[in-house]
Amino acid sequence: MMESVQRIFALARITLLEAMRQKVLNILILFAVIAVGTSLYFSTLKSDEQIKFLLDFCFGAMTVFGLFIALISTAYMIPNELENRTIYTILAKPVRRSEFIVGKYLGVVALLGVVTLLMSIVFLIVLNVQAQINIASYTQLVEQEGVPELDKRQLITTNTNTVLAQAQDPMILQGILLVYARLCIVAAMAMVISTITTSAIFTVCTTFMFYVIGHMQGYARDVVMDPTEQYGPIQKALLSCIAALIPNMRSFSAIDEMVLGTKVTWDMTFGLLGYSAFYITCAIALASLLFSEREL
Amino acid sequence: MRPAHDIDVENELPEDIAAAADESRWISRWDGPWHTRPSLRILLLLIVFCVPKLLMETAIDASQRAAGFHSITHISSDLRSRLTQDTLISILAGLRGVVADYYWRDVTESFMREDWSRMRSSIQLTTMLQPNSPIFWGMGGWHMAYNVAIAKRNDKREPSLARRIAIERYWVEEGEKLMRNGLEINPESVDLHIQLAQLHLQRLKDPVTAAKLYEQASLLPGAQPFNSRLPGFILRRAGREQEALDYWRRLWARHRTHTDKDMDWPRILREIRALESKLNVPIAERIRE
Repeated sequence: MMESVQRIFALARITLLEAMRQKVLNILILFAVIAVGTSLYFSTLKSDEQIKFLLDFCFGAMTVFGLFIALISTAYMIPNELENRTIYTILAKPVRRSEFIVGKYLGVVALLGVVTLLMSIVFLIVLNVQAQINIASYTQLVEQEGVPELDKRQLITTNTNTVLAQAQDPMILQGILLVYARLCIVAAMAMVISTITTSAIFTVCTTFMFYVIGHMQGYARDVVMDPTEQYGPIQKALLSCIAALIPNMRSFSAIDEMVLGTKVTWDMTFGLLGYSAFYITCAIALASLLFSEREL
Repeated sequence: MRPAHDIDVENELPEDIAAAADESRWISRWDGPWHTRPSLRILLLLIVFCVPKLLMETAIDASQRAAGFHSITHISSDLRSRLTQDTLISILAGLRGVVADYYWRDVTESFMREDWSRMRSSIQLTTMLQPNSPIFWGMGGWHMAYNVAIAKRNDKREPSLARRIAIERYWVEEGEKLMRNGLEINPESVDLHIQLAQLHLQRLKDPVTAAKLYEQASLLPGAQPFNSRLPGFILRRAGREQEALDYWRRLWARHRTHTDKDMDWPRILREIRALESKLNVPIAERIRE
């Protein structure tokens, strides 16, 4: 058992190192520049709008860049191993195919963890810089307006508290965790598809399509679970497949609600993280089964 | 050369290779029974996976709906035509917030160009995409009731002043309607209550409704203390002294202690005393400090 774990971690470590040698860091720098530029881009907007837009943009950029990295790194992994023939060297050793899949997936998960962490650091720095700019400009505005002293104090304190509450909201951490969970699900989907296909481009396109369909999976599930819905057998079978196999990506829109200030409890977040862990476990088990059947 | 099956693995191979071969045999034994029916295994996994997956998703959806997530307002056909394929893909890729922000920038740009119909349609799109955002409802209503209405009032291309006033009134009411719709979806928003109150006070010249809205805002969590004082001042200035006094009394009764500096109780008490004197309230019925 311990040897199996060691083999998995060795594979995960190698996968992470290989990925880090690629141009992922360049993308991160690009992200950082875009994120910093955002505050300037929205500088004409109202103070509370700026924070909302910054949160939206940063979570959006984390999702897009993360999605891109998750898709590319996972989809090209097995085809690259096959092309370079390194897979034969690995599987010639006492490494099970399931260990190979789990190790490779954990490598991608670690890579996504590093990427998300770096993006989050830049994101939080930008957010706090913007918050300080907003507080300073509002204070200056109130000072110039000639508001009575008591109201002035209340206005400045309330504004400072509101801006800081937005910029240092613990829910941002929940949002980052959910973005990470979403990316891990995408990587798991890509892993399943890459075990049955030979083309990385096909894997990228199909996974992205499934990701998009995942945002409408709830409708398919409603149809499947509601016996009163009037659909033909073919439509119902198709919708059943979608509901059964594709994850519900729409539930991750909780991130948007956080940005709008809606209270998203930790129970909800843990529920989503638990769901993600369950889906990933099943997807990787499926990928292992499919890969064990594959002719190399 | 001897055939491979003749080699005695235990005795003739070096130790490390023998160990590796041993492990491979163990792996084969472990994997063995599973190899018999692969498709059955996959089917079994899918069945075992699907049922809890669907149950978990239903539970998550129910909890999110209960918390007011996934709300979307009605989408009319003219608005649907403005949602391009790229926009729809972005929304479906989980970037709804970014798309809403993009349309909000379009609101600002349309406002700068004085393209009012496009501005209104962009406001409708943003509020449709993110109905839980009070910013969009409040600012959208403000654009309509103030910016568009005043621009229409000063639009000299319309020679009739009466017609210009009617058009101005139309836009003020449109702004009010938008904010009211926003309040239905975001009843806990202090800012939206205040913006609607300001609109009633400044644009519709309706201080009673404005005072009511300020009072509602002051009762919500996150309201600033000075919001509580505004209804009293507004009603007194509108000449509704009895209603102003009733409001101050309600406010006074709502608080157990009257020492909070932020509330500025001495000022409130001065207001109460002035109104009590003016309205000849009997001494016994006056508020006691």
